[in-house]
This record gives sequence, structure tokens and C-alpha cells, in this order.
Amino acid sequence: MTSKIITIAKTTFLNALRKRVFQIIFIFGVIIILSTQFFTFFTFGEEIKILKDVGMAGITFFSLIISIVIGSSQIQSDLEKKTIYTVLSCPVSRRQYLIGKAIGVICYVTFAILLLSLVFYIALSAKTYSIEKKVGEEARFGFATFAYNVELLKGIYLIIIKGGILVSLAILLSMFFHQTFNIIACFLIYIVGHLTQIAGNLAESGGKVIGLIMLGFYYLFPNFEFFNISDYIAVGKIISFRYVFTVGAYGILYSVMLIYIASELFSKKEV
Amino acid sequence: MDHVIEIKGLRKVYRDFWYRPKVIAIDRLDMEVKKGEIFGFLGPNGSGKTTALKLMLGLIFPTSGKIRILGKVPTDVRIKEQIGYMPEESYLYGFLNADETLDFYGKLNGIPRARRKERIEKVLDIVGLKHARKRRLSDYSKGMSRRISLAQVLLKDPDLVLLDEPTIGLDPVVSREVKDVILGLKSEGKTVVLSSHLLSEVQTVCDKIAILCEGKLIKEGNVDELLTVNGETEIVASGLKQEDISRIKDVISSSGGKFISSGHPKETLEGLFIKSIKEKQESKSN
Repeated sequence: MTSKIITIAKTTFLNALRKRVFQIIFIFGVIIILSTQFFTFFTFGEEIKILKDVGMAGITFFSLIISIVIGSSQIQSDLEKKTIYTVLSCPVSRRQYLIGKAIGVICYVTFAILLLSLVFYIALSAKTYSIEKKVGEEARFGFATFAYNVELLKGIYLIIIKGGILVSLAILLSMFFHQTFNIIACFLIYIVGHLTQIAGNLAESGGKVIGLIMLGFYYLFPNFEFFNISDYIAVGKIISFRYVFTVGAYGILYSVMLIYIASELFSKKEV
Repeated sequence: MDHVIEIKGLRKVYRDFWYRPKVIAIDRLDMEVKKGEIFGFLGPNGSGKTTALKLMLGLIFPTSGKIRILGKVPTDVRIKEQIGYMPEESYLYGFLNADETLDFYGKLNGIPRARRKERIEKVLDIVGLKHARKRRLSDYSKGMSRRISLAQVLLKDPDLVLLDEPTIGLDPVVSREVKDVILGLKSEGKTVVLSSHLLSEVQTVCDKIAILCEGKLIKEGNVDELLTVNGETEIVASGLKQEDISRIKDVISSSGGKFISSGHPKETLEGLFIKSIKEKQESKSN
């Protein structure tokens, strides 16, 4: 059973990797990150802060695009091109197929984020090295950034988890919608997901009916604001491991739940 | 198990967004396919042939009625190990090459690595695609795409083969090769169900046919029996002179029969085409 899921996941990963559109998006992301090399400010701290800010925002933005676009296209493309006929005529259950697809896309998104993060890390290290050299400090290429590397890793980990939720959401919505509508719906949910904290506050302070609606809103939609720690990283704040672990577990559980619902719906879907 | 496929009162209704019936694709279909038979689904476009095959594969679900494939319901994943399906077009991943495609389907069918490797070599040889095994399927011609689709079916050595319009869009040479493969499957004792609207194709390979029209079964039976013109006798002889033919005519009329025609038997156009191409290729290689 697992080997079939892995086979589908591997092929899905390969499919995404060989698609030109995603290669272009990825190259564009690399260019944005590398362009931060040309930002020049007067103070050492400010320059690094801006670089981290732009770099993390760049990774977040491109992971958002890649997760939604690729997540919404995979199953829909198999349905439209009818490749699903030949796959499901093999001894593969619909659940195995869907889980394999989801894992393949999540692996691809993780791979893309890690690659972009590596580019970002190199850009950050190079910038730090050049500034340290300019201000006369002993240049410690690669080590100068170590103090906040751990914080960066925490931020990247949460971006990956957020990407996983978006992929799972796009896969779930592909049970109902065609790709264009799916992408629009995912972006809307992404925006709403950043406002759930407000819904939570309204649930406490609003009237009974509004409160109930807002409470439903708060628990139904994913709270993407939990994953947004870039601002803290930029100013050098330390994020506790406990927070990262809890939010990570929340994201993983939310993704598993979405995939489970999608697989239940898919098992009853005619192809 | 004598019957590989058993269908009783099968009905499939496609509905619109509001769940109102839109099309009755299959209407009260009853049929049985025995082990080792080549069974042909005939019918014009939109008669329900592809729908029937998709129901047999569990890709869509019946509105009512019963289907048993190899003694089990089509949604039972285990029976897929014994079923090979070639859709009407080559619905395979264009970003994979032939080797990767067959390896992918081999893994999905749970074929162990050593046997998979051996089977891939064998089926690539059967469909004549060894020279293009590293080329992406998106770069394949229509004929090559059909061949790799057939290779995907043969890979798992299935007991039941479902072929949807297997020779559509193919040139007569490739079409003949596909028919030879189908007849080869029969000689190995496999059961083949094929859908087609190419009548000559069905006539040459099928033992039994079912004619569908607007989702209804309008005729079913053995090909030879259905096509036999009762009340007429055909005699094929060689080395006769004109006076011998005149004597035969006299015998027929004295026996109370009616002479209808005589002449030289005609080869089929397909046969002539294949023979001409083969002769040309042989003269080129010599």
C-alpha cells in the first residue's frame, strides 16, 4: 500500500519539477532574493533587517504561489487529461492516489522552499561578510549569521507547514472547482486565514449570533497568522521552540484533516 | 468461474448540476462474457460503449443494476491486478519516457523489480518501441502513443483486457499489429472486451458481439452465426474451366436451386495494403 503511495508521490514530484512554469516562478524567486544584495543603507543593523525582511517575504510569497498553483493543478490535470483512467485501472485505491498526489506536491513545495532558503542564506551571509569587512570587523563568512540562523530555520519550517496547508486546501477544493476558481478560492481563504484572529476577538466581544458565527469562522478557517514570524525574525527576537512545535503540530493536523476530507469525497467521485 | 463478466439490468444515468437526469447512457443492459472470449462492443458514437467499459472498471458507478467482474464488484481494487485497460486515447503522462511510464505502471500493479524489468523488455519488444524508450511520450506520434498504451496493458499480463477503440486513428499496418496482439491474447486464454465502431475490425477478431444503440442492447450473439446468410451456399474451388462452371450451373438448376453468381474471390483492401507495404519493405532490406 505504502509503495504505491510513494510511486504516485514520486511521479507527482517529477511532474512538478519538469513543468516549465514552475521553473520560471522559481527562477523569479531567486532573482528577487539575490536582488537584496543591492540594497544599501547607512547602518549595519538596518541593512541586515531589510534584507531578512525582503528575503523571508519573498520565500513566503513564492511558496504561496507554488503551493496554490501546483496543488490546484495536479488532480484537475489528471481528470482533464484523463490520465486518471489508466492510474485507477491499476490496483490503486482512490485514497492511495489522492494521498500520493498530496505527498508529491508537498514534497515539491518543501524542496522549492528549501532551495530558495539556501539562496537566501547565501545572499544573507555574503551581505553580512561585505558589511563586516567595510566596518572593519573581522569577516566571518557563514558564521556571522549563525546567531539568527536558528530563528531563520524556525521561520522557514513554519513557511513549509503553511505551504502544506495550502496544498491540502487546493487539493480539497479541486474536488469541486476547476483550477482558475480553485486558485481564486485559495487566495481568498489565505486572506481570510490572516484575519481569523480578528474573528476570534469578535466572537468574544460581539453579540450571541455574531459571536457564534465568528467562533465558527475562527475554528473553521486555518489561522495563517500563527505562521507569520518573519517580523520577529527581522528584528532579532527569539521565538520559543514550544511555540514553533505547537504551531507546526496545528498545521500538520489541519493538513491531515483536509486531505482526509478530500479522500472521502474523492472515493465517491466519478472520474 | 465460467463468466468473467456478468452484467444484469445495468443502468447509468448522467445528471446535471441540479441532479436532474440529463442522459441515459446505459439502459437495462444484460450481458455475459465467458473466459477466453473476444467480445466486441459495437455501436455508433455516443451509444454507451465507453460508459460500459468505465462502469466495468469502477471509474463511474451504476445508477442501478449489477456488475460482477471476475466474480467481484468493479470497485474492489484487488480485481484490477487482473485487468488491463487501454482507453480510446493514450491517457499517459507526457513528461515520462517509455521506460519510466512502464516502470510507473509496473510499480502500481505491484510487479516485483526483477520481473518488472523483464516484462518491460518483453512488451517494448512486442510493441516495437525499444528504439524510442528514452523519448518523452509528449514527443510520440499517435501510433507510438497507442503502442505504449498497449504495452502498459500487456505489462501486467492480465486475465481480462478491456480495449476502447484500440485501432482508432492508426494506419493499417499498426492497426493490423494491434489486431495480431489481440488474437495472441486469445491464444493465451485471455478474455478481451473491445469497443469499436470499425465493423471490419470487430468482424476479424471477435467471437461474440453486442450492438449498442442509445444505451440499449439491440443485438447480441456469436459473430459467425449473426453474419451467416441462411438459405445460401458458398462454394470456393480452384482449377475449374468455363465448361465445368456451366455444368455446375446445370446441376444447380436441375436440383431446384438458383445460381446467383460466380467469379474470382476478392482480397480485402486491408490485406492488399499490408501485402504491398511488406513487399516494399522487404525489397528495400534486400
